[in-house]
Amino acid sequence: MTLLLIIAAGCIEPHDNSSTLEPVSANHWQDMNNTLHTFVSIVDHEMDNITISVCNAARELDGVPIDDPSVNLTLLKLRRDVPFSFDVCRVDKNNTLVAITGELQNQWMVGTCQMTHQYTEEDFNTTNNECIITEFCTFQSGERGVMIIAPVYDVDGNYDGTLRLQLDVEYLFAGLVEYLRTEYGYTTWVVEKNGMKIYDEDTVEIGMNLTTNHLFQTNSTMSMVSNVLRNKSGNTSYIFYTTGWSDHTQINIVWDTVYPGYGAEWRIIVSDNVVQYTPEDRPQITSEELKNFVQKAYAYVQRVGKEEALAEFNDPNGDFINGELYIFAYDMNGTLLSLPYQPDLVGTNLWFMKDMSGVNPVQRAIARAEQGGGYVYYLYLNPSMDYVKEFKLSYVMAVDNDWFIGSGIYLHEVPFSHTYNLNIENGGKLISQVRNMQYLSKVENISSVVDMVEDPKSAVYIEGLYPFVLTENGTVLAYSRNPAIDDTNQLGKTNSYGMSGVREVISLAQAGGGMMYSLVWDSTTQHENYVLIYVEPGDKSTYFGSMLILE
Amino acid sequence: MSIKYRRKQSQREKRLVMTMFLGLAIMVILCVSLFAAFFGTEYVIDKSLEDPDVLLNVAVVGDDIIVTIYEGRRVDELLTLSVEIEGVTLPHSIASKPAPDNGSGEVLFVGACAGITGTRDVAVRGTFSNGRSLLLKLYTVKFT
Repeated sequence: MTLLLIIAAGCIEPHDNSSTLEPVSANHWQDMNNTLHTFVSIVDHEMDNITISVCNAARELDGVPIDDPSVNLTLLKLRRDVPFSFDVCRVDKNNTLVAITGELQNQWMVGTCQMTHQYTEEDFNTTNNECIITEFCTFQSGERGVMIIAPVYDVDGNYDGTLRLQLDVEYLFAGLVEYLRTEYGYTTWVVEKNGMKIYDEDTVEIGMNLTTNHLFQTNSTMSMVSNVLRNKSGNTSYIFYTTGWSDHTQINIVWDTVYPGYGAEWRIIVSDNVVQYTPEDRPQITSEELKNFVQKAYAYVQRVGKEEALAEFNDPNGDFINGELYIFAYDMNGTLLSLPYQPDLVGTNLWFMKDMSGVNPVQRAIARAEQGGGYVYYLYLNPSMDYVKEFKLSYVMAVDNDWFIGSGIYLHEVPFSHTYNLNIENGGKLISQVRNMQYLSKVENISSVVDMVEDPKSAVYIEGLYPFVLTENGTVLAYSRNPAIDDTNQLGKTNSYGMSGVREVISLAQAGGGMMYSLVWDSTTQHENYVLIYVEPGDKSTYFGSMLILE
Repeated sequence: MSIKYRRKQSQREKRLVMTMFLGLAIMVILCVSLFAAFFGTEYVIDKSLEDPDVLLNVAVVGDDIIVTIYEGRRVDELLTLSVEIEGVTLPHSIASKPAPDNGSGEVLFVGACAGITGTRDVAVRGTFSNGRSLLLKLYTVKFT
C-alpha cells in the first residue's frame, strides 16, 4: 500500500545503488529455484483447473438457445466451481452481453452492454481449442483481473459467441503467496510479458507497468526488468526499496514462465524481499483507548473544520500520532484523505483494495461509519512493525455524510494475526459453498436450500464451514452452527465490541456480497470466536452466507 | 424681490401621497418578514447544526441507539434528549432520555432501532433549561 501511494504520487526518486550488489551463494539460488518450481507447478495446476472448468461450461452451453433458463444455471455453476471469479457471463456473436451472474448488481447490463474485448470465430480458429486469456484489465464493476474466454457453438456447430469468466488474479495469488511465505519464507510477484504487474503483495503495485514506471528506471531495476521480460526463466539481483519503503536493499529473484491460456504469458517471480516478523513485548492499546482517541479526533474536526483537521491528521509530528495510533480519513467513495505514515497515497481511491482474505477494509469501514461508527476488523500493514501485515481492529466514525475518520490497533495476541491460518483452500471452499447455495436455490428453490443448510448429508455440507440463510430483516432462516436460533431475529445481537454481525452481513449482501471478519459468540464453546464470513444475495430479500472459525 | 406662493395641496392629493407612503411601508415590512421567515429559519437550523451548542454523535449498536455527547457551549443546560427515526413512531419512554448528569457522556436509547433496517434519517433534539427545544443533529444512518 505504501508503495502504491508513493508511486502514485511520484515523489520517490529512483535510487541507484547497483554497484553494491553482493554475490549470492549457490545454495541460496538453489533453494529459491526449488521453491520456484514447486510454486510454478501449483500455479499451473490452479490455472489448468480454472480453464478446464470454463471450457467444460462452454461445451454445456453448445446448442443451448441464449434465452434458455439453463444458461443462467451453467453460469452460476461455473462461478461456484471457480471461487476466484468475480462474475461469469455469456456474450452473443454480435458481442452483446446476454446473461450474467450477480443477482442484484449486474442484470441491468443484459441485452444492452457491448463487450470491450471483441472476438470472432477466426480468433478461436488459431487457439487450438485453448481458452483465450486477456491482458490484465478493469471490469465494468471496477474490479481488476483477467478474462478467460471460451467459444460457444450453436446446434449446427457454428460459432455462437463466447462464455467469459472474470478472474480475480489478486485473490488467486493472495492465498498462494501465504503458502509460499509460510512454507518457504519467500514472496512472489507476477508480471505479464508486456511488463504489467498483475500481482504483488503490496497491492498498490498491481497494475503498474515496470517498463514505464519511474520507480523502475534505475540501472539496476531496468536491467532486472529487461532480464525478466526477455528471458522465460532465470535469476538476478537488484537494488530496490524494502517493504516499508524506508531503506534500500538487495533483492534476489528467480523466475519461470507459465502459459495459463492462449495469449497469456506470465512470469512468476519468487523473491527473497520478505518482511520478517519479530515479536515485541509491547503493551497492547485497549479498544476503549482506541475509541477515545478517535472520539477526540471527531470533536477536533467539529471544532476546527475539515481542512485544518486533515492537515493536523496528516502531520507526522501532529497531536494525532501516538505510535501505532494515528488518524486515517476517507471520503465515502473510498478516496483517502489522511494517512500520516503514507502521505503520498492521499488522494488515491482505495475502494477496491483487499486484504489477503479478500476482505475489503475500506468498504467495511465505510459500512460501519454509515451506521454512525463502531469497530471493524481487517488485515493491514503495521507501519510501526516494518509493515508486516497484522490483524487490525479499527474504530471509525462518520464526520458527516461525506467522509469519515478512524484509527486502529494491531491485535498482536490474536493467534492468526501473523501466521495467518486461512489457506487458499479454505477461502475457496467458503466461497464455493455459498455460491453452491445460490446455484441450488435456482435449480430448486430457497426453501430447499434452507433445509439443506442444517443437514450434514446435504449437497451444501462442507466440514469445518458453517452455512446460514438470513432474511433482509435479520431473521435467521437456518444456521448450521446453532439451529436453536432459527426463525429468530438477530439484528440486535452484538459482540463484546458492540458489532452487530447480522446488520453487517445484510449490508455486505446488499452491496453484492463479499468477505468480512467478525467476532461471534459460540454457544458450543461458550466464548467468542474470530470468524471469516462470505455472503452473497440469494434473491432481493434472502442472503446466503457461510462462516469459517479462524482459531 | 418677488414673493412666490406655494400652491395649496388639495385633499385628494394629500390622500394619494399618504396612500403611496403606506403602500411602500407595507411592502417593505412584507419583504423583511418574508426574508426573515425564509433565510432566518434556515440560518437558525444551519447554525444549530454547524456550530452546535451540543457536539454529539449517533451510532447504532444492535437494537440500540447510542448518542454520545462530547462538548459544547450549552451542554450544562441540556435537560433531555430525544431521538426521531424517519418512518418510525417510537414510544416516549424509548425516544426520550435525561441528559447525562455531568453534561457529556453516552445516552442509551434501548431498543430504539429494534427491527429497523435500510437507510433512514435520524434526528436528535435537546431540551434546555430555558424550556427551548433545539434540533441538535440530523444524520442519515444506514441501519443495514
